[in-house]
Amino acid sequence: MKKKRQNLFYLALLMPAIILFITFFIVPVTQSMWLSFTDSYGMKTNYNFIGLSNYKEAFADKSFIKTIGVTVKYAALVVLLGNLLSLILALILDSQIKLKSTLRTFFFIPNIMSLLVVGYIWRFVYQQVLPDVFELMGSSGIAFLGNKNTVIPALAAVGIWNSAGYYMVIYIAALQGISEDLVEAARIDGASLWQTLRYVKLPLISPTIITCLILAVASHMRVFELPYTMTSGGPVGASATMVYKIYLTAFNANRNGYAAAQSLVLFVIIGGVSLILNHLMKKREERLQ
Amino acid sequence: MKKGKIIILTVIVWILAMIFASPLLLVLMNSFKTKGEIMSSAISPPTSFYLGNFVRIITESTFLTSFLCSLFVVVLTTSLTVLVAAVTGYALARWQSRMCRILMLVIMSTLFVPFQVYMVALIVVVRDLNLVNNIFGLIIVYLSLGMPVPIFLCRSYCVGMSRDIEEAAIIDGCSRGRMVFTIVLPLMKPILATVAVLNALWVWGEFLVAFLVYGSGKPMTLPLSQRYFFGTHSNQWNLILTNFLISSIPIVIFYIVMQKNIIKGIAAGAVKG
Repeated sequence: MKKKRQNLFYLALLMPAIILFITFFIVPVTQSMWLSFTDSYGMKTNYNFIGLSNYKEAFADKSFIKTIGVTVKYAALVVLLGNLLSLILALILDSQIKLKSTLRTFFFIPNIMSLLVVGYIWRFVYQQVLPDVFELMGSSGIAFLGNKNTVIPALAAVGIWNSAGYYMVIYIAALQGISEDLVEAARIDGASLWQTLRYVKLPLISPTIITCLILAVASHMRVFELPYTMTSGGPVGASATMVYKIYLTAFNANRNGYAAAQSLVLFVIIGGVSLILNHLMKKREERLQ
Repeated sequence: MKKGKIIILTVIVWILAMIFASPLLLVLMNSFKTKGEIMSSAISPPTSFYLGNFVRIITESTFLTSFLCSLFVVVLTTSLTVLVAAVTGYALARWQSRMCRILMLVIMSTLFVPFQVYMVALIVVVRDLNLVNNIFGLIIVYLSLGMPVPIFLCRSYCVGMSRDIEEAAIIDGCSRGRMVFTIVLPLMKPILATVAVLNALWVWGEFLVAFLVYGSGKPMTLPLSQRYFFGTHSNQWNLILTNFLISSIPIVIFYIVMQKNIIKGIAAGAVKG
């Protein structure tokens, strides 16, 4: 009897979360899969089952396939270069230099700003500031956002500027977790600064590196605000990312069914990359044991 | 480390810091210039201490109402998130049952299924519930999307908490409900503070969810108002940048006051999440 009351009490505590998860997670996720096999359109409540047509269309649609390449290219640049920069910054801020917390603030402030504002500010930088800088240097310069070869690196630079401080904070915490004794022991054994880094510090924080890479892949593959504010996907779709495309398909073209199919492709790509990284981490741990 | 090496590192890191700060310094500098001055050069310093942009933003833009609207959304969302995460995390930590295992599985899967993947169907659900352009609709969606990591963090925290005090309270005749709210929640304060700060930071700057759920709602949240302002003042960079500057002040102050919690929370979230 007492046990039963206790169970009811716990159930009551869980109830709000259960209701919210069902309404705003489980229902939309299942509905999203179902919608991807239908011709659901805008606010219309009746729609038909059309099998795999949406998926067939997606893989035949060059403008959609292009967004996969754009997104992967953007994410690869931001994830790899961004994490490298964050790690370097963390290593520097973990050394004996002065004014660490001031420096940390400099690198972290871009991360607390709304991505929307970040996009608009950098649009100003690319469209108004850089031309003036080029003029000052007497060169004609390039319009980074207007050229299909430079637009992705230009957006990636903004992504890195926005997120580097975040990963840096995680790396600093990991580096501070390394026992002083190990570093000291390496030094006594005559290891150089580089050797300590390569053979002691980096192996010890490698789980954190993988975690950051997984987090970064999942977060940068879903970029939306930057193309939305800076380029509207242009020039000619050269910076249209997958989420931006899904947004256009669902809310401008009103094709919910087709957009749901595109979303599932995005999910498979994000999930696939995360799984591969996770697998790499497991293999590495096994090798270390 | 040798002194020479430290000096080199210091120089490198300060150059990088200046590169990181430069876009924001440009915003600050150009806020004191007229439209004409920016058009002729965006990198020259202001010729006079021009405050006209600030006057116009404060008198003409919806900054104040949007600020209050965002504040309302953040306070309500974050309080609800903290409350739900605390009781859910506590129950998950203390109750061994199939229900809890299923719920944990759902929470884990939310970490791998980002909102963007099911946003189309989510908006359909929000529409069916008649919550479009409704500020409480936005808050409830924020609560649902933002709670998995907080629940996770609260659960881990409770697992590490001793049960002795709770049992003593029950033996002394305290009801379970009262025990949770007067004894357990105060004990969870450190993790709840971390959760609250991170949640507030996210809600304050979030754009896409607000745009889809609350796109033409009134009053606008800050990010929505910034988009609107940008759209209606095309090329008036003097006003746009001043608007960004003024609306970023609260969040920068928030960061400076809360930085310890923010830094700690990000590190904890990465390890547990």
